[in-house]
Amino acid sequence: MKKFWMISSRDPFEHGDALQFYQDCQSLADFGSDVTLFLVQNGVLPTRSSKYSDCLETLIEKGVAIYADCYSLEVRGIREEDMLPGIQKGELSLIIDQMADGTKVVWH
Amino acid sequence: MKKTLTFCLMDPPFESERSTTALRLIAIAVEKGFDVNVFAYEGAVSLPFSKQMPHPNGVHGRNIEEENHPLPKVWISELMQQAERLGSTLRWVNCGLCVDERGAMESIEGVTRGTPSDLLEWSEVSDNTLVIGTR
Repeated sequence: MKKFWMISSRDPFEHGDALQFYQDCQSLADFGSDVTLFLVQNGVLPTRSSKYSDCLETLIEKGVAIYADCYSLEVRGIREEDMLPGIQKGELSLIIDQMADGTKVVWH
Repeated sequence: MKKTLTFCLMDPPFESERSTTALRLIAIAVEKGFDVNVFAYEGAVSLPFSKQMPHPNGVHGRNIEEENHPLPKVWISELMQQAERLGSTLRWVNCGLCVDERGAMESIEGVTRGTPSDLLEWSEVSDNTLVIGTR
């Protein structure tokens, strides 16, 4: 099974292509890949309840694991209790570990 | 056998959070003891520019020391030293074409000039490559 870590640095409020990136994650999952979405920088903004919550909730239902960078959350004042259920806080070191394991890592 | 990770950067210093995130990732890779390659092109060739200088903050009444202005060249230099202490390598190559366009010839010690063929070679021999594209 192919494994992908998809890094989303953009928020859908300003960048319409952020939604397309979520769709890419969903498509990869639909094709049977092991997909993780890692949110960083303004990519963590939709971890809060918003009009885009259903996009991330759909990914979780599809089995996509979603992490949000701890530092990005902290500097934006997003607390764990503000985040959608199912989204985990994560450190960037997770990305480095995956790179070392040979996982395909894609930045957007 | 030690693993090697390659990063490709494009963003100039001080303009985007992508530069900060990229350096955070590189720092983690160095701390974990991996050999790390960085191919910098476009504006990223200015990240290790040796002429970066701190400045005071007259608006807030802080002198240079108090302002403690962060400089990417310092971070990169320190990461290179840390890699050496850990018995690893942090190789930083600036794309020569991009250096020439921007006049960013003066880089800190340890940074070398190269070409896109260096990125191709690194991507072929590294365990993984992450490209952090610009906007």
